[in-house]
This record gives sequence, C-alpha cells and structure tokens, in this order.
Amino acid sequence: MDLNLKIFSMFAVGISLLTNISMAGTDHKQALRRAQYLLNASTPTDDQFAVGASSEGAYQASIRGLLDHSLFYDAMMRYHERLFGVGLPTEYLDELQRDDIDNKTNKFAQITCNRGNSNAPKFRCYWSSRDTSRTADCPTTWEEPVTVFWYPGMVAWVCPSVHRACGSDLSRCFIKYANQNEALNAELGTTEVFDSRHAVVKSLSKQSAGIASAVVTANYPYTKILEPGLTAVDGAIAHFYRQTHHFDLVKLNPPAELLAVVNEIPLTDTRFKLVNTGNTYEQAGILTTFGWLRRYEKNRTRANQLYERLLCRKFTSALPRVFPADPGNLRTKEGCSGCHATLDPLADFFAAWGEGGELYTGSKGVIATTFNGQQGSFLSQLADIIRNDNAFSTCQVENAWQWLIGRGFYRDEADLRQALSRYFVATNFSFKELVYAIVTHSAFTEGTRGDSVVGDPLEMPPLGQPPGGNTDQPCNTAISFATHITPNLGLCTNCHKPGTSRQDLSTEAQWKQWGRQGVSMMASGNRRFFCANWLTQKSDAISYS
Amino acid sequence: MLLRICHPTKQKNNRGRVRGIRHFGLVAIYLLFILSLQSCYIQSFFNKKKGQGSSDPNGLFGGTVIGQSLGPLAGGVDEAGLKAVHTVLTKNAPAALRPDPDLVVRRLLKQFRPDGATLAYQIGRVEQYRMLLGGASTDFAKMPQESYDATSLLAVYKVAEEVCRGLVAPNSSEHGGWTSIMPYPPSADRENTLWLAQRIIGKPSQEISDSKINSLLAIMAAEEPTIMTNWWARSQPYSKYISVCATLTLDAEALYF
Repeated sequence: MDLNLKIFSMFAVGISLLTNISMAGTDHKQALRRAQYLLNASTPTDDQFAVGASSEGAYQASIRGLLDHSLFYDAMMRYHERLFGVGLPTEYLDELQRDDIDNKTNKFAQITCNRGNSNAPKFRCYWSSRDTSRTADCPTTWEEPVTVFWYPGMVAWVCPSVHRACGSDLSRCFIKYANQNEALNAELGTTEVFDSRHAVVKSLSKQSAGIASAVVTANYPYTKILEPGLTAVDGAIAHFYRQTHHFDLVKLNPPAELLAVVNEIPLTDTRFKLVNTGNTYEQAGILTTFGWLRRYEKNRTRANQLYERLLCRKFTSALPRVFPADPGNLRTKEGCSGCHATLDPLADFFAAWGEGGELYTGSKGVIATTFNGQQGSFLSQLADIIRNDNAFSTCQVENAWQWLIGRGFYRDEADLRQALSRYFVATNFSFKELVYAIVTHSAFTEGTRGDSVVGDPLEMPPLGQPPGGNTDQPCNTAISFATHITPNLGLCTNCHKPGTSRQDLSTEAQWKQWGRQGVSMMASGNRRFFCANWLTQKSDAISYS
Repeated sequence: MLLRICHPTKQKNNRGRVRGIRHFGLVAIYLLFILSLQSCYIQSFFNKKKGQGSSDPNGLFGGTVIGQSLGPLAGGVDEAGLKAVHTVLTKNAPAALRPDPDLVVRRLLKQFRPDGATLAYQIGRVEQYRMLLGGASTDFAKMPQESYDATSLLAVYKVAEEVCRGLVAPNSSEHGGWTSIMPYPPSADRENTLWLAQRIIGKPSQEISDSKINSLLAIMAAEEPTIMTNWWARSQPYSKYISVCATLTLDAEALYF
C-alpha cells in the first residue's frame, strides 16, 4: 500500500471510530487527558494516569492540582485572549513609533540587533537606518561591548554613537531584531532574541486578558475584571512606560503609585500583575485597556462587543426591506431602532474616551445615558450595571462551559446552566471554582464525544435579574395594557406595526397573543419594565387585567 | 492600563460643561471617600514585604496585586453547593475538542524543550503555517478553527515533520543544545514507538493497541530509506522515528481531545 495512503487510512479509521459514539459513562482517563490539556497545555504521562485517574477522588485532586499549577495562568491568558478577541494588527507596530500616539516627535531611536552568521558570532546592534550597510556606522575595531537590558549576562557590540545614544545597557533605544519570525515567537528573558515593538504590542494587546487571568489565578471575584481603577502591567508594558524620552507617559496622567510600580517591574517579568490605582472613576477594568479600546475602535463596536462577549447577548434584527437614504435617528427609525434603541445608549458610555486615534489626543465630553433601565455617564457606572446583572455571571458560565465542554448549552440544560450560575455567585464569583465544578461534572467526565454544533441551543441569558437569578416570589403585579404597556408602546410599534415584516403589536389583543416575546425583547433594554425579569422566565403566567 | 490624555470632564460646549461640573461634584465626593480609605490601604501595602501580593494563602501561584487592596478573595469550594450542581445531569455528551491551532506547535515543543533561542527559532520556522493550520489572525478578526479541513490536515502533517525533527532527531546546526527526546536506544523500535505514541496521543500506554504500533513500525520501515538521504538525518540514528512522530500527530486521538 502506498505509504501516504496508509497514513491517511489510519487517520480515517480513527476518525470514524471517534465519531461513531454513544454515551458510555464516566471515563476518568479520558477526562484527565482533556482537563490537563485544557488547563495546563500538556498531556498526562503513564504515571500521571496511574495516580490521577484511579478514582473519582484522585481525579478531583488532580484537577485541583492543575488549577493551582502555574501553567493554569497561561491557559487563562489564551482563554481570555479568545474570549475578548483582543489582539492588535501588525500596523500597530508602526503606530507605536508614530508621532500621533502622544504628539511627541523625537522618539524611538531604533537599533537592529542580531548575531550574524556563524563566521561572525558576535552579537551586534546598529542603527536600524543602516540595515543595509551596517559597516557605515563605524569600523569594527571601534565597536564597544555593552550589556543588554533584555538578557542579563550577554554582551552586544555597538558603535560609540549607539552606546552614547542608547545607554550602557541599550535601554534608551527601541530594539529591532533582524529575524522577525524569531522575534515574534521569542519568550522574554529566555533568549537573546528581543524586539521591543513585538514585545510591547503583544503586551498591550493582551492587557485585558492579563487583568482577567491575574484575577482568576489569584482567585479574586471575577467581577473584578470590570473594577474601576484596576489594571495590569507586565514587564514589557513597564519597560514601555519607563522610556520617558520615547513615550510621554506624564501626559497620560497616571497615578504616582503606578509610576512607582512601573519602575520596579523588570522587563523579563511576563506575568501580568494587578495594579489597583483605585481613584479612576472613568475606568472599567478590561473595557478601558488599550487593547480593548484600540481593537474595537468605534463606540458602537465597543458596545456591541461587550454586549456579546460579557453578556452573551446579540443584537439581532431583521434588516429593513429598503434602507432609507437618510435614516435620521437610528434609535427611533423603523427597521433600525430594534437594535439601536439599546445599542446607541450603551455606546454613549464610551463617549468620553473618543474613537480610534482620539484615544490619545481626544477630549470628549461625557453623556448621560442609560443601559438596562439604569442611568450613568461613565464606564465605571456601566461596569457596575453589568456585573450586578445575572446575565454577566450566566454569560461567564456559558463561556467557561463552551471552552471546557466544547459546545454551548442545549435547551434542555437550562437547569444545569442555572445551577452553575448560582454556584458561581455563591462562591463570590470564583472562576477557579466554576472551572472545577464543570471539570468534575459528569458532563465533562463522560467518555464519549459528541458534536460541537448545538441544534437546539439554550436562549440568551435574560437581562434584569440579580446575580444568581431571581429568587424573589413571582411578580404579583396585575398587568394592565393601558397602565403598563401603552406608555412604552412606541418602543415596539416603531417596528411592529401593520405593513411591515414584523408582527403588529399595536393592540391589546395582539399583546395577549404575542406579549411573551414582546416582554422578552423589552427586557433587553428596560430592566424594570413591569417585572420584566420575572416575566421573561415565567411568561406563561402573564395575565392581563 | 489606559492610554489616555484627556480628562473626561473637559467639555467642548456649554451643555457639556454643565454636565461636567455636575459630575465633577460627584467625582470629588467619590475621590474624597477613596482618599479617606487610601491611608489604611497604603499602610497595609507598605507593611507587606516587597513583592508580596494578595496571593493564595497556601503559597501556590496566585498572582500579585500592587497598590490598593482589592478586597476579599473569592470563595473556595462549597461542597454542598457543588453537590447540588453535580446532581443536575445532562444526557448530552461533550464535544470533541481540536487543540488550539495557534498553540499546538508551541505546546508540543514546550512539553519537551526549555524556553530559549532554539525554541523561538523552531516556532518561528513553522509560524508561516499557522494560518494554514487554521489559526487566528493577529487581531482575532478571524478566530481559530475548531475543526479540520483538508488544508489544515495537510498543514498539520507538514508542520509535524518539521517539529518532529527537532524533537526526535535534532542536529547541532538547527537545534543547538538539543538532544533527542527518545528514552530508549535507537534500536528499541517498539519501545520507542510506544513511548512516542503515549506522549503525542496522550493516552495511557496500555490503551494503545499492538496493531497501531505495528502499523507505525511498518511506516517507519518504509520511510527510513528516504529520510536517511537527508543531510541532517545521516548522523542521527533516531531520524527514522520522524515519520512515526509525524504520523502520530495525524492520529484521530491526537487530532481531538
């Protein structure tokens, strides 16, 4: 048999065995293998199987070990990078070196470093502007040895002009490494390979993931990821801030405490540390990191992303049959207001930050706005609204579930989602305990594998319930069409009126027939609207006086 | 950390200024409250030893907090609550998981190799295949693939050939300082193959069938003459295992967890 055919036939047989499944029950070996890969990015050895899969208790102890292992931080970083979608395109490498980031023109003296070929084993750094004619800097005999700040103990050879400009450890210059592939993949502090631009951009991109990962590994309440005044700094960001002749950090008006912190973190410290400045009312944890604001440049995009990523809710609406040339106010225009009546006020919370490049130089005013029936102007207020809503905790359960189980919740798993949400809240939002609860659940330890596509998914978590879900007695308000619905009817009938593709909701009779869906939709933007939180769940019980 | 220059209460028009003044009052009250708390936190902060953070009291890795206290930690395990969660069952199986295509190379290498220039070089060599593997774009506008297509499967095999060379049969010019990961002498074909299968598939050795090992040995025997024609293979007796290693990365058990 042809060799390649043989290899791929092995693969095909394996795949067919893998997909021909039926529920078989608990398999601790299979579960340990999956858990170790997800939580610690490695596969168990025979010895680890022998210990960790011998019993349910041993399995649980192994999971606890994986959660307390330092490699769990790396797993959390990747989880949150994907969850938040934070990464910056390569053009930010250039942006970091442009004037408009801080209106400072004389910055980023750049040198290129490499070891050359095997015949010239000296590690050399030279002005990047001389990339193609390095020898023009100075004769080789003039070169001087200097230490390098990114890799203690190593010597680089530089021309006197480089030495004078970049300092005795080259820390006053931006470093470019000749081999971009190596530079992109190098781990800080472990190799002579270093490129300031990649290091800084990667860290700025990941800063929101860094906050969340540090919160999780330290076992702080997960709601802290939206804590006003909380940020996270690693060695590369600290290094960036320290280069005051390159970057005008003072213009950012950081707290003195943060500046002191920045000076103490070595470049090679790749783990984000939480920094609680505590006095910045305009901040909202991950939402005000550079990586989030620059990745999602428009306020509507920012609002849409947080709605989807932190609340697991989507703005979905049928498009109008004909787009008007000038739609006017999208919040009220038919065909637009279905989303924009909620999206735009949510976006206004970001108004003070400015869009795109305005982040650096803008000076925008705040806007009094609302979300979920609650008023505010600052992102810190929005953060409080979000984290005090059960949709936030339910969404985190959904996200963790998707990561670990590999699929979303089925409709018939509503009780399980609710039980996990309540447990998450009961442990004061311990993400570690949430992961532990899922990974030790029979849904995870089940030995068979199914499809990642959920045909009958559970609906989006409703807004308007307190963390843990609404345990109050059912709302006993008798709903009156005239009293409760008519005053806000316009929110619905902008779209839901005769002659449109939407269900007409103008009359009481139509409300009696379609009220359940109407209430559910209104709950997305009107938290206190006649006990919408309860009605969303118990809508079968709607009665009209 | 924010990168921000403006103050949010700076307004461009009178309407905004009025709002700004109103908010300034609220903010001032808030700041006074915070400042009144700060003295306690600062005192407790400086009472700590340098580098000490609010980490796990058990001394395990728990991150660090610098600056003001973040308040109490989240709770630990709640046995009763956990039991209640575990009593809610489901009839639906978990989905098979594809290893993250962005990290699969890095994770495979880092299980066996220390950080350093050689590792960065090796990852860099196959970085160009990351998108073919189904990886995310740098800005996550394109998310990592969760299943395989023909392109990504072929890319897995191509990348595996490259990575396996560095694991099984490193050479001094490309993999400075590395030695083969194989635990047994080169002649111990079956033992080495079984060990390699266990490490790459991640299943217990006793669950890896003899027929699978036999198939792998057959592939190794068929491929050895071709592999040994390469310059990097001639002086490295473990080179014959490269085809075994690469084939194992295409095993269904290795493709999904």
